[in-house]
Amino acid sequence: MSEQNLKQSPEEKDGIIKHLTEENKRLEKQLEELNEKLLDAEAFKSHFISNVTNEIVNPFSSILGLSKSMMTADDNQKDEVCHLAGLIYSEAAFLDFQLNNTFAAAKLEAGEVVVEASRVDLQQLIDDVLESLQPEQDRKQIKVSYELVPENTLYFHTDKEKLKLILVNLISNGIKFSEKGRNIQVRIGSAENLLKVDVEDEGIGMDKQEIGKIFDRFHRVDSRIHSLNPGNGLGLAVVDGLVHVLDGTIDVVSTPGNGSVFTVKLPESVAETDFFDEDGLFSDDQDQELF
Amino acid sequence: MNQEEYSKYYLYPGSLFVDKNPHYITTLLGSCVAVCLYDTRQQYGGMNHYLLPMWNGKGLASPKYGNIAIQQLVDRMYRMGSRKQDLIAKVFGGAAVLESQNNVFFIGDRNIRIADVILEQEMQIKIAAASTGGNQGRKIVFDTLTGEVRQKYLGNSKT
Repeated sequence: MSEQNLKQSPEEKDGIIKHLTEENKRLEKQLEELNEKLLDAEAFKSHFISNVTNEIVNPFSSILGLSKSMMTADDNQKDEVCHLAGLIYSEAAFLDFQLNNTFAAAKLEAGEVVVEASRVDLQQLIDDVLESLQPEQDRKQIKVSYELVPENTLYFHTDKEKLKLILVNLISNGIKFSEKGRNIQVRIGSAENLLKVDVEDEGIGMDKQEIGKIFDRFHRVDSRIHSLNPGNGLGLAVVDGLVHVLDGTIDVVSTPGNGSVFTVKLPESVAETDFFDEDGLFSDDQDQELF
Repeated sequence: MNQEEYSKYYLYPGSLFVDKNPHYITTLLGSCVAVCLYDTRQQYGGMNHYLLPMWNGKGLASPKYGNIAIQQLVDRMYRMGSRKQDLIAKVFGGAAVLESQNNVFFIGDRNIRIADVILEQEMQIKIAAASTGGNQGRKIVFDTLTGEVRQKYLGNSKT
Protein backbone atom coordinates (compact mmCIF):
# COMPACT_ATOMS: atom_id res chain seq x y z
CA MET A 1 0.00 0.00 0.00
CA SER A 2 1.17 3.48 -0.78
CA GLU A 3 1.83 6.15 1.86
CA GLN A 4 -1.29 8.01 0.82
CA ASN A 5 -3.47 5.03 1.69
CA LEU A 6 -1.93 4.79 5.15
CA LYS A 7 -2.96 8.35 5.91
CA GLN A 8 -6.62 7.72 5.12
CA SER A 9 -9.26 7.72 7.87
CA PRO A 10 -10.84 4.41 9.00
CA GLU A 11 -14.08 5.40 7.17
CA GLU A 12 -12.21 5.94 3.95
CA LYS A 13 -10.44 2.61 4.36
CA ASP A 14 -13.77 0.87 4.92
CA GLY A 15 -15.05 2.47 1.76
CA ILE A 16 -12.06 1.23 -0.19
CA ILE A 17 -12.42 -2.28 1.24
CA LYS A 18 -16.12 -2.33 0.36
CA HIS A 19 -15.32 -1.17 -3.16
CA LEU A 20 -12.60 -3.80 -3.53
CA THR A 21 -14.92 -6.54 -2.27
CA GLU A 22 -17.56 -5.56 -4.82
CA GLU A 23 -14.96 -5.43 -7.55
CA ASN A 24 -13.76 -8.84 -6.45
CA LYS A 25 -17.25 -10.27 -6.62
CA ARG A 26 -17.79 -8.83 -10.08
CA LEU A 27 -14.52 -10.31 -11.34
CA GLU A 28 -15.34 -13.63 -9.73
CA LYS A 29 -18.67 -13.68 -11.54
CA GLN A 30 -16.96 -12.83 -14.82
CA LEU A 31 -14.48 -15.61 -14.25
CA GLU A 32 -17.26 -18.06 -13.55
CA GLU A 33 -19.00 -17.10 -16.79
CA LEU A 34 -15.78 -17.48 -18.74
CA ASN A 35 -15.19 -20.82 -17.11
CA GLU A 36 -18.62 -22.01 -18.19
CA LYS A 37 -17.88 -20.94 -21.76
CA LEU A 38 -14.59 -22.80 -21.66
CA LEU A 39 -16.31 -25.93 -20.41
CA ASP A 40 -18.79 -25.68 -23.28
CA ALA A 41 -15.93 -25.26 -25.74
CA GLU A 42 -14.15 -28.23 -24.22
CA ALA A 43 -17.25 -30.43 -24.48
CA PHE A 44 -17.64 -29.33 -28.07
CA LYS A 45 -14.04 -30.18 -28.86
CA SER A 46 -14.33 -33.63 -27.28
CA HIS A 47 -17.47 -34.24 -29.30
CA PHE A 48 -15.65 -33.22 -32.47
CA ILE A 49 -12.67 -35.45 -31.74
CA SER A 50 -14.86 -38.46 -31.04
CA ASN A 51 -16.66 -37.76 -34.31
CA VAL A 52 -13.39 -37.65 -36.19
CA THR A 53 -12.40 -40.95 -34.64
CA ASN A 54 -15.60 -42.67 -35.69
CA GLU A 55 -15.95 -41.20 -39.12
CA ILE A 56 -12.36 -41.09 -40.33
CA VAL A 57 -10.30 -43.56 -38.38
CA ASN A 58 -12.80 -46.42 -38.68
CA PRO A 59 -13.07 -46.38 -42.49
CA PHE A 60 -9.29 -46.12 -42.67
CA SER A 61 -8.88 -49.19 -40.48
CA SER A 62 -11.31 -51.09 -42.70
CA ILE A 63 -9.44 -50.06 -45.83
CA LEU A 64 -6.13 -51.15 -44.32
CA GLY A 65 -7.52 -54.50 -43.17
CA LEU A 66 -9.34 -55.22 -46.43
CA SER A 67 -6.39 -54.33 -48.65
CA LYS A 68 -4.13 -56.54 -46.55
CA SER A 69 -6.53 -59.45 -47.12
CA MET A 70 -6.38 -58.75 -50.85
CA MET A 71 -2.60 -58.84 -50.87
CA THR A 72 -2.55 -62.28 -49.30
CA ALA A 73 -5.28 -63.75 -51.54
CA ASP A 74 -4.43 -66.74 -53.74
CA ASP A 75 -4.38 -66.60 -57.54
CA ASN A 76 -7.62 -68.57 -57.83
CA GLN A 77 -9.62 -66.29 -55.52
CA LYS A 78 -10.66 -63.72 -58.12
CA ASP A 79 -14.24 -63.45 -56.83
CA GLU A 80 -13.04 -62.89 -53.30
CA VAL A 81 -10.63 -60.18 -54.47
CA CYS A 82 -13.41 -58.41 -56.40
CA HIS A 83 -15.63 -58.55 -53.34
CA LEU A 84 -12.88 -57.06 -51.16
CA ALA A 85 -12.19 -54.34 -53.74
CA GLY A 86 -15.89 -53.45 -53.67
CA LEU A 87 -15.80 -53.10 -49.90
CA ILE A 88 -12.70 -50.92 -50.09
CA TYR A 89 -14.39 -48.74 -52.69
CA SER A 90 -17.45 -48.21 -50.52
CA GLU A 91 -15.35 -47.38 -47.44
CA ALA A 92 -13.27 -44.94 -49.49
CA ALA A 93 -16.39 -43.35 -50.99
CA PHE A 94 -17.80 -42.86 -47.51
CA LEU A 95 -14.53 -41.35 -46.32
CA ASP A 96 -14.47 -39.00 -49.31
CA PHE A 97 -18.00 -37.85 -48.51
CA GLN A 98 -17.17 -37.26 -44.84
CA LEU A 99 -14.04 -35.30 -45.68
CA ASN A 100 -15.89 -33.18 -48.25
CA ASN A 101 -18.45 -32.31 -45.60
CA THR A 102 -15.80 -31.47 -43.04
CA PHE A 103 -13.89 -29.24 -45.48
CA ALA A 104 -17.11 -27.56 -46.61
CA ALA A 105 -18.03 -26.85 -42.98
CA ALA A 106 -14.56 -25.46 -42.28
CA LYS A 107 -14.74 -23.18 -45.33
CA LEU A 108 -18.22 -21.96 -44.46
CA GLU A 109 -17.16 -21.19 -40.90
CA ALA A 110 -14.08 -19.31 -42.09
CA GLY A 111 -16.12 -17.28 -44.57
CA GLU A 112 -13.95 -18.48 -47.42
CA VAL A 113 -16.71 -19.50 -49.75
CA VAL A 114 -16.65 -18.61 -53.40
CA VAL A 115 -19.44 -19.56 -55.76
CA GLU A 116 -18.18 -20.99 -59.02
CA ALA A 117 -21.17 -20.91 -61.28
CA SER A 118 -21.35 -22.87 -64.50
CA ARG A 119 -23.94 -24.53 -66.72
CA VAL A 120 -24.74 -27.73 -64.85
CA ASP A 121 -26.09 -30.82 -66.58
CA LEU A 122 -28.71 -31.88 -64.03
CA GLN A 123 -29.19 -35.39 -65.38
CA GLN A 124 -25.45 -36.04 -65.27
CA LEU A 125 -25.24 -34.56 -61.79
CA ILE A 126 -27.98 -36.69 -60.26
CA ASP A 127 -26.53 -39.80 -61.93
CA ASP A 128 -23.13 -39.04 -60.35
CA VAL A 129 -24.73 -38.44 -56.97
CA LEU A 130 -26.65 -41.72 -57.04
CA GLU A 131 -23.60 -43.64 -58.20
CA SER A 132 -21.57 -42.33 -55.27
CA LEU A 133 -24.36 -43.42 -52.92
CA GLN A 134 -24.74 -46.88 -54.47
CA PRO A 135 -22.97 -48.70 -51.60
CA GLU A 136 -25.28 -47.08 -49.04
CA GLN A 137 -28.34 -47.88 -51.15
CA ASP A 138 -27.26 -51.50 -51.54
CA ARG A 139 -26.51 -51.89 -47.88
CA LYS A 140 -30.00 -50.83 -46.85
CA GLN A 141 -31.77 -52.08 -49.97
CA ILE A 142 -33.23 -48.67 -50.58
CA LYS A 143 -34.33 -47.66 -54.03
CA VAL A 144 -33.69 -44.05 -54.95
CA SER A 145 -35.51 -42.90 -58.06
CA TYR A 146 -35.56 -39.46 -59.61
CA GLU A 147 -37.50 -37.46 -62.12
CA LEU A 148 -36.80 -34.21 -63.88
CA VAL A 149 -39.88 -32.00 -63.94
CA PRO A 150 -40.61 -31.03 -66.64
CA GLU A 151 -38.77 -33.75 -68.44
CA ASN A 152 -36.84 -31.34 -70.62
CA THR A 153 -35.18 -29.73 -67.59
CA LEU A 154 -31.58 -30.40 -68.38
CA TYR A 155 -29.39 -27.48 -67.51
CA PHE A 156 -29.20 -24.96 -64.71
CA HIS A 157 -26.67 -22.23 -64.00
CA THR A 158 -25.26 -22.79 -60.50
CA ASP A 159 -22.24 -24.03 -58.53
CA LYS A 160 -21.96 -27.70 -59.48
CA GLU A 161 -19.89 -28.94 -56.53
CA LYS A 162 -22.08 -27.18 -53.99
CA LEU A 163 -25.31 -28.47 -55.52
CA LYS A 164 -23.78 -31.95 -55.60
CA LEU A 165 -22.86 -31.84 -51.92
CA ILE A 166 -26.36 -30.61 -51.08
CA LEU A 167 -27.94 -33.53 -52.97
CA VAL A 168 -25.54 -36.15 -51.61
CA ASN A 169 -26.24 -35.02 -48.05
CA LEU A 170 -30.01 -34.90 -48.43
CA ILE A 171 -30.27 -38.29 -50.12
CA SER A 172 -27.74 -39.92 -47.81
CA ASN A 173 -29.71 -38.52 -44.90
CA GLY A 174 -32.91 -40.02 -46.31
CA ILE A 175 -31.22 -43.41 -46.65
CA LYS A 176 -29.92 -43.22 -43.08
CA PHE A 177 -33.29 -42.56 -41.54
CA SER A 178 -35.27 -45.07 -43.56
CA GLU A 179 -35.79 -48.67 -42.71
CA LYS A 180 -34.65 -51.41 -45.07
CA GLY A 181 -36.46 -51.76 -48.37
CA ARG A 182 -38.07 -48.29 -48.44
CA ASN A 183 -38.02 -45.82 -51.35
CA ILE A 184 -36.66 -42.33 -51.81
CA GLN A 185 -38.01 -40.05 -54.51
CA VAL A 186 -36.03 -37.09 -55.84
CA ARG A 187 -37.72 -34.47 -58.01
CA ILE A 188 -35.70 -31.81 -59.77
CA GLY A 189 -37.37 -29.04 -61.67
CA SER A 190 -36.70 -25.52 -62.78
CA ALA A 191 -39.01 -22.68 -63.66
CA GLU A 192 -38.37 -18.97 -64.10
CA ASN A 193 -34.70 -19.14 -63.18
CA LEU A 194 -35.43 -21.09 -60.00
CA LEU A 195 -34.29 -24.65 -59.34
CA LYS A 196 -36.49 -26.70 -57.05
CA VAL A 197 -35.30 -29.99 -55.58
CA ASP A 198 -37.50 -32.26 -53.46
CA VAL A 199 -36.08 -35.24 -51.61
CA GLU A 200 -38.89 -37.34 -50.21
CA ASP A 201 -38.27 -40.36 -48.01
CA GLU A 202 -40.43 -42.92 -46.27
CA GLY A 203 -38.28 -42.79 -43.20
CA ILE A 204 -38.91 -42.35 -39.51
CA GLY A 205 -39.87 -38.67 -39.79
CA MET A 206 -39.55 -36.02 -37.11
CA ASP A 207 -41.72 -33.91 -34.86
CA LYS A 208 -41.63 -30.11 -34.85
CA GLN A 209 -39.18 -29.91 -31.98
CA GLU A 210 -36.76 -32.20 -33.79
CA ILE A 211 -37.05 -30.24 -37.05
CA GLY A 212 -35.92 -27.15 -35.17
CA LYS A 213 -32.63 -28.82 -34.29
CA ILE A 214 -31.62 -30.73 -37.40
CA PHE A 215 -29.54 -27.93 -38.89
CA ASP A 216 -27.37 -27.62 -35.77
CA ARG A 217 -23.85 -28.81 -36.26
CA PHE A 218 -23.10 -32.19 -34.69
CA HIS A 219 -26.74 -32.68 -33.89
CA ARG A 220 -27.87 -36.23 -34.50
CA VAL A 221 -31.36 -37.52 -34.39
CA ASP A 222 -31.87 -39.82 -31.46
CA SER A 223 -33.76 -42.84 -32.65
CA ARG A 224 -33.96 -46.56 -32.58
CA ILE A 225 -32.07 -46.82 -35.85
CA HIS A 226 -29.59 -44.17 -34.90
CA SER A 227 -26.94 -46.51 -33.57
CA LEU A 228 -26.78 -48.27 -36.94
CA ASN A 229 -26.07 -45.06 -38.78
CA PRO A 230 -22.71 -43.58 -39.46
CA GLY A 231 -22.36 -39.82 -39.83
CA ASN A 232 -20.68 -36.91 -38.15
CA GLY A 233 -23.77 -34.76 -37.69
CA LEU A 234 -22.41 -32.11 -40.03
CA GLY A 235 -24.47 -33.02 -43.10
CA LEU A 236 -27.55 -30.85 -42.69
CA ALA A 237 -25.60 -27.95 -41.17
CA VAL A 238 -23.47 -27.99 -44.33
CA VAL A 239 -26.57 -28.21 -46.55
CA ASP A 240 -28.09 -25.22 -44.79
CA GLY A 241 -24.85 -23.24 -45.11
CA LEU A 242 -24.42 -24.05 -48.81
CA VAL A 243 -28.05 -23.27 -49.66
CA HIS A 244 -27.68 -19.83 -48.09
CA VAL A 245 -24.41 -19.16 -49.90
CA LEU A 246 -26.30 -19.87 -53.13
CA ASP A 247 -28.98 -17.41 -52.01
CA GLY A 248 -31.58 -20.17 -51.75
CA THR A 249 -33.98 -21.57 -49.17
CA ILE A 250 -34.55 -24.95 -47.54
CA ASP A 251 -37.79 -26.24 -46.05
CA VAL A 252 -38.71 -29.45 -44.28
CA VAL A 253 -42.12 -31.06 -43.99
CA SER A 254 -42.25 -34.12 -41.77
CA THR A 255 -44.41 -36.10 -39.40
CA PRO A 256 -43.14 -38.85 -37.10
CA GLY A 257 -43.52 -42.22 -38.78
CA ASN A 258 -44.53 -40.75 -42.12
CA GLY A 259 -41.26 -39.72 -43.71
CA SER A 260 -39.87 -36.31 -44.56
CA VAL A 261 -39.71 -34.03 -47.57
CA PHE A 262 -36.77 -31.65 -47.87
CA THR A 263 -37.29 -28.89 -50.43
CA VAL A 264 -34.42 -26.75 -51.66
CA LYS A 265 -34.98 -23.74 -53.91
CA LEU A 266 -32.05 -22.04 -55.60
CA PRO A 267 -31.98 -19.01 -57.87
CA GLU A 268 -29.79 -19.10 -60.94
CA SER A 269 -26.27 -18.02 -59.98
CA VAL A 270 -24.85 -15.03 -61.76
CA ALA A 271 -21.31 -15.16 -63.08
CA GLU A 272 -18.96 -13.06 -60.94
CA THR A 273 -17.91 -10.88 -63.84
CA ASP A 274 -21.51 -9.68 -64.17
CA PHE A 275 -21.17 -7.79 -60.91
CA PHE A 276 -18.45 -5.65 -62.41
CA ASP A 277 -20.27 -4.46 -65.50
CA GLU A 278 -19.84 -0.86 -66.52
CA ASP A 279 -22.92 0.38 -64.74
CA GLY A 280 -21.48 3.74 -63.87
CA LEU A 281 -20.07 2.97 -60.44
CA PHE A 282 -16.70 4.24 -61.51
CA SER A 283 -17.78 6.93 -63.92
CA ASP A 284 -19.28 10.29 -63.01
CA ASP A 285 -22.70 8.93 -62.32
CA GLN A 286 -25.11 11.14 -60.46
CA ASP A 287 -26.75 8.27 -58.60
CA GLN A 288 -23.48 7.26 -57.06
CA GLU A 289 -22.48 8.34 -53.57
CA LEU A 290 -19.04 8.38 -52.05
CA PHE A 291 -18.25 7.39 -48.45
CA MET B 1 -2.61 4.18 -58.57
CA ASN B 2 -3.58 2.83 -61.92
CA GLN B 3 -6.83 0.93 -62.14
CA GLU B 4 -4.97 -1.94 -63.81
CA GLU B 5 -3.08 -2.64 -60.59
CA TYR B 6 -6.32 -3.34 -58.76
CA SER B 7 -7.89 -6.77 -58.53
CA LYS B 8 -11.63 -7.27 -58.34
CA TYR B 9 -13.43 -9.41 -55.80
CA TYR B 10 -17.11 -10.16 -55.54
CA LEU B 11 -18.08 -10.86 -51.94
CA TYR B 12 -20.77 -13.48 -51.40
CA PRO B 13 -23.23 -13.31 -48.53
CA GLY B 14 -21.87 -15.06 -45.45
CA SER B 15 -18.26 -14.64 -46.47
CA LEU B 16 -15.46 -12.15 -45.88
CA PHE B 17 -12.39 -10.98 -47.69
CA VAL B 18 -9.16 -9.28 -46.61
CA ASP B 19 -6.09 -8.69 -48.77
CA LYS B 20 -3.11 -6.37 -48.56
CA ASN B 21 -3.05 -5.80 -52.31
CA PRO B 22 -5.41 -3.16 -53.72
CA HIS B 23 -8.83 -4.53 -54.50
CA TYR B 24 -12.23 -3.33 -55.53
CA ILE B 25 -14.49 -5.44 -53.35
CA THR B 26 -18.10 -5.32 -54.41
CA THR B 27 -21.28 -6.74 -52.94
CA LEU B 28 -25.06 -6.40 -53.10
CA LEU B 29 -26.98 -5.63 -49.94
CA GLY B 30 -30.61 -5.67 -48.89
CA SER B 31 -31.33 -6.37 -45.25
CA CYS B 32 -27.77 -7.76 -45.03
CA VAL B 33 -25.04 -5.54 -43.66
CA ALA B 34 -21.45 -5.17 -44.86
CA VAL B 35 -18.70 -3.73 -42.69
CA CYS B 36 -15.74 -2.24 -44.58
CA LEU B 37 -12.72 -2.06 -42.32
CA TYR B 38 -9.79 0.11 -43.37
CA ASP B 39 -6.31 0.42 -41.91
CA THR B 40 -5.29 4.07 -42.33
CA ARG B 41 -1.64 3.31 -41.55
CA GLN B 42 -1.02 0.32 -43.80
CA GLN B 43 -3.61 1.44 -46.37
CA TYR B 44 -5.46 -1.77 -46.99
CA GLY B 45 -8.80 -3.17 -45.96
CA GLY B 46 -11.34 -5.95 -45.82
CA MET B 47 -15.07 -6.46 -45.95
CA ASN B 48 -17.66 -8.86 -44.58
CA HIS B 49 -21.29 -9.43 -45.56
CA TYR B 50 -23.61 -10.89 -42.98
CA LEU B 51 -27.25 -11.92 -43.17
CA LEU B 52 -28.31 -12.17 -39.54
CA PRO B 53 -27.22 -10.36 -36.39
CA MET B 54 -26.26 -13.10 -33.94
CA TRP B 55 -25.22 -16.73 -34.10
CA ASN B 56 -27.61 -18.52 -31.79
CA GLY B 57 -25.67 -21.78 -31.61
CA LYS B 58 -27.66 -23.33 -34.47
CA GLY B 59 -26.03 -24.33 -37.74
CA LEU B 60 -22.44 -23.53 -38.55
CA ALA B 61 -20.72 -20.72 -36.69
CA SER B 62 -20.11 -18.93 -39.96
CA PRO B 63 -19.76 -15.24 -40.85
CA LYS B 64 -23.36 -15.39 -41.99
CA TYR B 65 -23.90 -13.94 -38.51
CA GLY B 66 -22.88 -10.39 -37.57
CA ASN B 67 -21.18 -11.13 -34.28
CA ILE B 68 -18.98 -13.77 -35.93
CA ALA B 69 -18.41 -11.85 -39.18
CA ILE B 70 -17.22 -8.69 -37.42
CA GLN B 71 -14.95 -10.54 -34.99
CA GLN B 72 -13.40 -12.58 -37.83
CA LEU B 73 -12.81 -9.49 -39.96
CA VAL B 74 -11.09 -7.62 -37.13
CA ASP B 75 -9.05 -10.70 -36.16
CA ARG B 76 -7.81 -11.17 -39.72
CA MET B 77 -6.66 -7.58 -39.92
CA TYR B 78 -4.93 -7.85 -36.56
CA ARG B 79 -3.11 -10.88 -37.91
CA MET B 80 -1.94 -8.77 -40.84
CA GLY B 81 -0.37 -6.33 -38.41
CA SER B 82 -3.16 -3.81 -38.04
CA ARG B 83 -3.49 -1.89 -34.80
CA LYS B 84 -6.84 -0.98 -33.32
CA GLN B 85 -6.10 2.75 -33.32
CA ASP B 86 -5.53 2.75 -37.09
CA LEU B 87 -8.77 1.01 -37.99
CA ILE B 88 -11.88 2.79 -39.21
CA ALA B 89 -15.14 1.14 -40.18
CA LYS B 90 -17.79 2.00 -42.73
CA VAL B 91 -21.17 0.28 -42.44
CA PHE B 92 -23.70 -0.30 -45.22
CA GLY B 93 -27.03 -2.04 -45.77
CA GLY B 94 -29.70 -3.15 -43.33
CA ALA B 95 -32.63 -2.03 -45.47
CA ALA B 96 -36.17 -3.21 -44.87
CA VAL B 97 -36.57 -4.85 -48.26
CA LEU B 98 -38.33 -8.09 -47.39
CA GLU B 99 -42.05 -7.65 -47.71
CA SER B 100 -42.80 -10.97 -46.06
CA GLN B 101 -43.30 -12.07 -42.48
CA ASN B 102 -39.54 -11.63 -42.03
CA ASN B 103 -40.15 -7.92 -41.84
CA VAL B 104 -41.72 -8.42 -38.45
CA PHE B 105 -38.34 -9.29 -37.03
CA PHE B 106 -36.65 -6.11 -38.29
CA ILE B 107 -33.63 -8.04 -39.49
CA GLY B 108 -32.15 -5.02 -41.23
CA ASP B 109 -32.36 -2.87 -38.11
CA ARG B 110 -30.92 -5.59 -35.91
CA ASN B 111 -28.08 -6.13 -38.38
CA ILE B 112 -27.21 -2.44 -38.19
CA ARG B 113 -27.41 -2.35 -34.41
CA ILE B 114 -25.04 -5.26 -33.91
CA ALA B 115 -22.40 -3.43 -35.97
CA ASP B 116 -22.75 -0.33 -33.78
CA VAL B 117 -22.60 -2.34 -30.57
CA ILE B 118 -19.64 -4.53 -31.47
CA LEU B 119 -17.55 -1.96 -33.32
CA GLU B 120 -18.03 1.18 -31.28
CA GLN B 121 -18.99 -0.06 -27.82
CA GLU B 122 -17.08 -3.34 -27.50
CA MET B 123 -14.09 -2.81 -29.76
CA GLN B 124 -13.86 0.97 -29.75
CA ILE B 125 -13.39 1.05 -33.51
CA LYS B 126 -14.73 4.25 -35.02
CA ILE B 127 -17.54 4.06 -37.56
CA ALA B 128 -16.34 6.78 -39.90
CA ALA B 129 -19.24 6.58 -42.32
CA ALA B 130 -22.47 4.69 -42.75
CA SER B 131 -25.36 4.35 -45.12
CA THR B 132 -27.91 2.09 -43.49
CA GLY B 133 -31.62 1.45 -43.25
CA GLY B 134 -34.23 2.71 -45.66
CA ASN B 135 -36.08 0.32 -47.91
CA GLN B 136 -33.83 0.07 -50.94
CA GLY B 137 -31.07 -2.39 -51.67
CA ARG B 138 -27.54 -1.17 -52.24
CA LYS B 139 -24.54 -2.03 -54.36
CA ILE B 140 -21.24 -0.96 -52.88
CA VAL B 141 -17.67 -1.00 -54.12
CA PHE B 142 -14.88 -0.71 -51.56
CA ASP B 143 -11.54 0.63 -52.75
CA THR B 144 -9.18 -1.10 -50.30
CA LEU B 145 -6.24 1.18 -51.14
CA THR B 146 -7.94 4.50 -50.39
CA GLY B 147 -10.67 3.28 -48.05
CA GLU B 148 -13.34 4.94 -50.19
CA VAL B 149 -16.68 3.24 -50.67
CA ARG B 150 -18.90 3.99 -53.63
CA GLN B 151 -22.56 3.23 -53.25
CA LYS B 152 -25.55 3.06 -55.54
CA TYR B 153 -29.12 2.22 -54.63
CA LEU B 154 -30.67 -0.74 -56.40
CA GLY B 155 -34.00 -0.53 -58.13
CA ASN B 156 -35.29 -3.90 -57.06
CA SER B 157 -34.90 -5.61 -53.73
CA LYS B 158 -32.11 -8.01 -52.88
CA THR B 159 -31.33 -10.06 -49.79
